[in-house]
Amino acid sequence: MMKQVAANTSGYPSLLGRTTSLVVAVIAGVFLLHAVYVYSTARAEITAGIEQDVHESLERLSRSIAPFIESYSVHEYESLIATEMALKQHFAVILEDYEMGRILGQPYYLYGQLRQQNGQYRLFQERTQPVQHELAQAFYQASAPIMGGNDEVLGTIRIYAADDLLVAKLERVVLEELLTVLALALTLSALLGTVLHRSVFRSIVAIDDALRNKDAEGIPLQPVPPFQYRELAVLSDGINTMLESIKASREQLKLERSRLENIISGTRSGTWAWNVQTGETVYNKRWAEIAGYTLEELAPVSIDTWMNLAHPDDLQRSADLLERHFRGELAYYECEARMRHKDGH
Amino acid sequence: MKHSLVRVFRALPVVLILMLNPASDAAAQERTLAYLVPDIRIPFWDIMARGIHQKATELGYELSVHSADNLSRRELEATVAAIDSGVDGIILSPTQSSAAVTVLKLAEQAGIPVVISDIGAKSDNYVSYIESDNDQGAYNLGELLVAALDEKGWMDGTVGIVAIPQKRANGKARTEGFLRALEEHGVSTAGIYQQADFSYRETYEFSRRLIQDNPQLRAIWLQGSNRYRGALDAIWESGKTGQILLICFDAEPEFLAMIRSGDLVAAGMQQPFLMGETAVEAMHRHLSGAPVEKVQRLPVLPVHRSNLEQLLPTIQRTVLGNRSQP
Repeated sequence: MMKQVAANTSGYPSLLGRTTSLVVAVIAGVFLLHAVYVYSTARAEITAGIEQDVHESLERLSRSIAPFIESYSVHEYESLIATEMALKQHFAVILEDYEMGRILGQPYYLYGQLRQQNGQYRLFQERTQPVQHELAQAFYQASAPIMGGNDEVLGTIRIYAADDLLVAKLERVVLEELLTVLALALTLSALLGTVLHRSVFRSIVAIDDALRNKDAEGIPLQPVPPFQYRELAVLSDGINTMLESIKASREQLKLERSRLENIISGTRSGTWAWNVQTGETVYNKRWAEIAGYTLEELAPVSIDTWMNLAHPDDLQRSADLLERHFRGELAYYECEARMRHKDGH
Repeated sequence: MKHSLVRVFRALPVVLILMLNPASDAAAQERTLAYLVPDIRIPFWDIMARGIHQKATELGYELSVHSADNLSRRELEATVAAIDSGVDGIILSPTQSSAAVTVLKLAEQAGIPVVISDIGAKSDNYVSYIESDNDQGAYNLGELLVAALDEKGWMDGTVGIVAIPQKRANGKARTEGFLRALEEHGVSTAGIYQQADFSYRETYEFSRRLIQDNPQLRAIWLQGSNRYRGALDAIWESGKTGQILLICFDAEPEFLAMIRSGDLVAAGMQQPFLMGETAVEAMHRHLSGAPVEKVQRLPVLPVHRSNLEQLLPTIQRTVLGNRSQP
């Protein structure tokens, strides 16, 4: 009689699930490391870009503004600065016009533009405390002299860059990188999962399915199916060979047992067996009948069942022989003993 | 203190102190005005200055006139000098529309109101802007030129333009109005040159090039009047006197005779004297707390042989600034 035996494996983790999780974790880790690298690289590039923008603007403005200062075209250079501010989104630009300052009787005429939090530009013509405070927040600043045609210094241009643009750009880089990492990690994980499932785990599941269908003794009933991949084919062949070997051995054992049972039943022999280590004893039906009992009447059986029915004289001899066998003096234990019948004879 | 003295010293050559009529308006007693003018040597500005003086005197203001000689630096120095002297108001005829922005800014910082008379400004922080209707005046002038070309059968001829700087709002308006009239009648332009130093040589050279490069040229339009002689000489030297017409914006005293003789087809005569008077009136109303129109546009008189005699009394007073006229 054969039956399916399902091993209690519900608490075991799924190899597919664990492998997929591991792969996703590894991919995410690798991409996160890449994201960190991209972030640091982008930060360095953006910072360099901001500084380069500042210096390019300085060069452009100092060159363009000089003729306007020389011609006292104040509005023209103010428009130029406003355009540069809007174009490059500098935090602040300050021009000190020494020529105009001479007219005003001051060290310089100051024209400044400051970008506010709402993105609008605010003009200022004095370095007041609030203006100084805001300028102190600048991330980077540089200045350049404005040279006239006769190499005299006409003024000074100062440009301030804020880090809000850096932060905004970096936030955008981080967001883009995270989205890229997420998309790539999910795509790669899905692809790897699909490939692993199709090439490996489906085969393992097929082996698992085949091995789950077992007989009463836990031996799988069906062979493991063949596989195209070498490693799995070797595994499958090995399992099937073992199963066939087990089945053949079991058939052989059954045959020998059947022969032994036939001999015992044919000679109407009473048999008993005692596992000295465990104390387990087995009496056959005929042994009980010879003593005048049924097995049910003798139950529960033990070595005491034999000892209670054995003749006291034989009992001592049996014990001696058994002791000698245990000591290795006898190759085997053989003893004829008389049993007392239920009827007393 | 040293700097102030230096500035006053520098400003002295360009400052004319014009004495006031002792019978002045009591409400304006001890009030002073400054007039910043691009170049007092140019008749147009001189007439405007006289109009300003006339009205300022009537209303009891003391007036100082500062000529920039068409230099931005002088204009700014004059602005600072006027501000430092504590004037109550500034009448400004800027050297350029963009230059006016700085003057207006300095005046605003000093809390001094400004009325702009002609040229215009690239900002609007002024009390009032007195301007000629340059667009309509130029359009009317274009119509008169087209009529003259048609009368001579020269409608297939071209018209050359010697323009004042197009950075000025009035320059742009003149060009747009004049070209609109030409386009409406299918008259082509030969080219446009923009004045930079307003010299005789410049006007002569631009006119000579227009004549040389355009055989079909039948008229030259000068957007300014003072260097008309350069254009006439170029026409004469090319041997095309009588074959190329001359038409001008603005006016010179001799234009009346030239229009009568036909040497000049027509002139779009601004009324600088009237503009000056209107500017002072606007400033006076502002200083008196009365509302003032932001822009006051005065007509340009399109003077042609056909209407010259009729317009003559008006021209004498509001264009040429002859005070004897009513």
